[in-house]
Amino acid sequence: MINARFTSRVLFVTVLPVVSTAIILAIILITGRINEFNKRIDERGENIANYLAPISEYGIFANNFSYLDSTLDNTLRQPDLILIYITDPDNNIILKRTHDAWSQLNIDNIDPELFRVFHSDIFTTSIDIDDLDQISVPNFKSASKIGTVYVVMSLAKSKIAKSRIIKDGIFITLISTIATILIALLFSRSVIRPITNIHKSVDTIRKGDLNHRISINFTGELAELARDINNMASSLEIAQIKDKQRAEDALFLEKTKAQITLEAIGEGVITTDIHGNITYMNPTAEKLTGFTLQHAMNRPLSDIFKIKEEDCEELFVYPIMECIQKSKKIHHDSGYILYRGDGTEFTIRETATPLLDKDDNVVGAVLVFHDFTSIKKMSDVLAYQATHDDLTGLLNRRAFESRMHDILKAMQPDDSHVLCYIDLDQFKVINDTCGHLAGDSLLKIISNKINENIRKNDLFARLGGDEFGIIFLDCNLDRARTLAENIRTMISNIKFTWDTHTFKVASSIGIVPVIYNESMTDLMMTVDTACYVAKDKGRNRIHVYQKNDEDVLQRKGELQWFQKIHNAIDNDNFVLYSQKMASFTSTGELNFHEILIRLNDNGELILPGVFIPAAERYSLMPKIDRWVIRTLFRLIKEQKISDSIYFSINLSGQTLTDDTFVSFLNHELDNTRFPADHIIFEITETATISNFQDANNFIRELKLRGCKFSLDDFGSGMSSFQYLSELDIDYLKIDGNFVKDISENPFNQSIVNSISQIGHSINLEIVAEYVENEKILSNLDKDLIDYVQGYGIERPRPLKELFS
Amino acid sequence: MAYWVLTWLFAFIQFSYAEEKVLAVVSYKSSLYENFYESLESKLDEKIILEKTAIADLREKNLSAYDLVISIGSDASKILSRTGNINSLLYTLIPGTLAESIGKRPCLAKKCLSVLIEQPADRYFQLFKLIFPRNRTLAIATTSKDPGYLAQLKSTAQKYSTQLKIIPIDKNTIIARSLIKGLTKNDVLLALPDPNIYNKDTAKSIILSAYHKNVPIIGYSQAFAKAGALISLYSSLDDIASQTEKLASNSRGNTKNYYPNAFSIEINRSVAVSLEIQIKDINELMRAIK
Repeated sequence: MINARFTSRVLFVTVLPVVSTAIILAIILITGRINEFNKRIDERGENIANYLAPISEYGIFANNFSYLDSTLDNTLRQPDLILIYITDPDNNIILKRTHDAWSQLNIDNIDPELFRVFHSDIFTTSIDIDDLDQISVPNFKSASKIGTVYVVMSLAKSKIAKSRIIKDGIFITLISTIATILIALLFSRSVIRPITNIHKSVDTIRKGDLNHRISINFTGELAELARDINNMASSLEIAQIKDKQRAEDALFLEKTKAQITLEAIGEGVITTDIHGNITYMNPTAEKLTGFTLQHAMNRPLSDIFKIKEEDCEELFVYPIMECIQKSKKIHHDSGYILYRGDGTEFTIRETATPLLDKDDNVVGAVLVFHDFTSIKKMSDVLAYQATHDDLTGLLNRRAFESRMHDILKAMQPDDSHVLCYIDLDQFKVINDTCGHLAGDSLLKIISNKINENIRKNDLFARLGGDEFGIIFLDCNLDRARTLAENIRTMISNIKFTWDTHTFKVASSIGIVPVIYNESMTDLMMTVDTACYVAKDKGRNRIHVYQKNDEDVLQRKGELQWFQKIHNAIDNDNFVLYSQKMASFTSTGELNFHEILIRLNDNGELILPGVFIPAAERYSLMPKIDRWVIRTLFRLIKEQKISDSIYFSINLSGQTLTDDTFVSFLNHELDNTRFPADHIIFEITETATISNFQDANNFIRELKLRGCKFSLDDFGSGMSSFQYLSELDIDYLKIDGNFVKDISENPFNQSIVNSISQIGHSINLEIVAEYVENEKILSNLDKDLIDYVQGYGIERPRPLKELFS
Repeated sequence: MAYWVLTWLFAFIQFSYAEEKVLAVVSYKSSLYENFYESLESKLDEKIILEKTAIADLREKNLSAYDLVISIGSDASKILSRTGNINSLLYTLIPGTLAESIGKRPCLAKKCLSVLIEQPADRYFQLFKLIFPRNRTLAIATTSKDPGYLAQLKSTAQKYSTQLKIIPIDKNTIIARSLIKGLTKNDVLLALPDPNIYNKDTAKSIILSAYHKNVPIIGYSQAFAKAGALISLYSSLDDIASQTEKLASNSRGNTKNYYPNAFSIEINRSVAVSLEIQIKDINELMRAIK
């Protein structure tokens, strides 16, 4: 109902109550009339029975059946009365009168739907006949029942009458309902017509016809509403005119702005109609195409916008119609070459966009293009610089690796390429001696020479300072070896002269066959290693990597350790151990422990002899030394270690030349507040001798702080004892190789004794290591050895056990 | 002698002016008995001191202290007929059948007299003859099997040259049917008081049936005439009270049962018109009967 039309609502509101009332009234009327009819039948039946009862009294009393017959027959003339019968007090029928048509009616089984039975008892009628009744008949009995008269009425006519009543009732209801509906329709039309007019007018106004007004030919509230709507339409019309004016002003302003903008912008703008004919060009477009708008107007775009693809000479028609017909934006990142009328070429980038009207119908296209020439040139330069070495003009490492990556990706199993890695020998000497200009000059010469000695398709690049890379494409290993040998020979023949200096130049070259499916990283590592091996074997030579090349594998193993050591430093995968240095003489009284290190490689503890060479080769020892000191001092601080313990810490030769180590150590000592004189640094004889001056300075600085020093593995380098007097050390640790077979080797016994005596002579305390058993210990001279260390004294154990 | 004369005279005078105490006993309190009592009281001599009581209060009375006890109505008569120590007992306002019944028992009082409510049969026969001088049979329905009563009726009929039809009625059957069956078109039904035949319930049917057969009815009460009898001859309360007063004032007679001397006649003129019977004036009839 909520959604019903107003007409329906009016009809509903008008008709429903009336129809409901009519139906209710009809029901009441029908039921009332039927009830009245039934009542009349009942009353008639009862009246007849009641009428017959007293007049039958005489007939029964007097046994006058002829009287009764005539009486009942007369009564049977009454309509609907079909049967009368009289019973005695015992309910036996004593008389029955009926119409012939109903003579077969079974009195004992009368259908109440078809017949109604009424009865009235017959009593004797009392009449006073005694004046002195109380005297003469004082106890006489009262009136008594002598029978019952039954009257049977047929309901057939009644039913017909009822049916007629119902039909009449329904008919009247229908007539009244129809009449009501017709009246309601007439009424609703009179009400709805103005509303419909208003609705149509409002709809017309809503659609934009603000001139439209409602013709008011009715009165009342609706007329007021219509007047209000007309007023509102007038207001809207005025507002629309103002808006239109404002819109036109705004449109003009926007158009002007757009025009100015289009004329001012650096992009060329051309618009076309739906057929691809030019309708507008801005000044930039005129400038780039060489046509004025006047000349270009209504001409096909292809006449004006002449383009070709880069690296292609033929002009082609710009697909503006595709843009229009498919309503699709077209853009090319690669850029086109635009020909101007005077023959000038511009690199452009363009975008063609369909022009749509307000209903999204394509009405043309707009082509926007930008002169990309200068940007393109700049971009090309930048791209070149990004991929080439400034000095030599060769590809740089990034471009080389990128190209190599592409080659590897496109490589087939049968393809044969060879990677060559060239490292100039002693190039640093030239740089250090004559400066970088000399080095750069040499690099240019060499790169040019190499370029002359490789094939046209080979890929040649400068990979680093004095490193070059070549990929011999489609080349077997022998051919590559030959080419590399030519290069090596060519370089070794160069006598580079700079100012007064003349240098002999050489190169170490690694050659690796490119194997299908091998990663670029492995390949580069392998060729680098091969080059290193060549350098390691004496420089100025070629090392061709072969499968299972032990030299390369070793080198690669070290490289792997390089990674593990790095990870261990970053992730604390090192573990500190300690080994006691026991006092052997009366003079050695200190509680001495050497700090040792292990590498935890996924649960396996690796001894330092395995990873230290790699660490030294890749200059990681300073980091390891710092890790040891940092970790030890942290534990000392955490565990609150007493001052009675002395720790001996190994330092690498690389650390001795680390200018920042002293300040690092001072910071750690300050932070830990552990007495510096309880720290003894062990430095090897070889490391000290190799960097004697640096080592001496290093020792001197830390001695000022209070630290002590021990010269480790003394005797292994067989250095001059002269150094001992020049170094400010406190302990001398004899190389264990002399100690461990002291019991079998008298020579070693002599060396140990000699070293000890000399050490004592310059006030050094002597430590013997590798004291693996009691036998070795017994062969040591207590007067010469102050401390002993080795498995015979104590096996190395985790430092935490010492602190626990 | 003079002494004796004076004494006798005094005694005579004293006797002549001696007051008589009479107690009226009504069967029960009713307007009928009240009316009868008042009628009787108004008729009695001033010398008679009349008191009234009801049967319920009878024990409080010393009956022997009264010269005469008058029982009014059947109930009072039945009780007093079995009560002793009564000087004189006068039953009044009772039917003849009760009087006959009481009369069969010994009278416990010094004297027992009865005033009946019925009329002597002679009056009816005279009335019949006055209305229907000839060609009519007088039919009398009765449940009585008393040969004396029947013989008396026949004798009276013979006395008045009346053709009599006795219709015997068995009171155990439907009375009206038996009575109607006994009637013929030429009969005149004389309804003599017999409660077994004529009562409230049978009256209507008897009257209707009789008239269906064109048989007029001579009734015994004013009510009967009004109910549909052609004519009734009867004694009113006042008539019976007059008779009672006469016996109370002079109870020296020996006759046990007395009919009321006075009577009345009531004619139902509508019935007469319907049956097309010409009836003389009531006064003329009464004079003729007397």
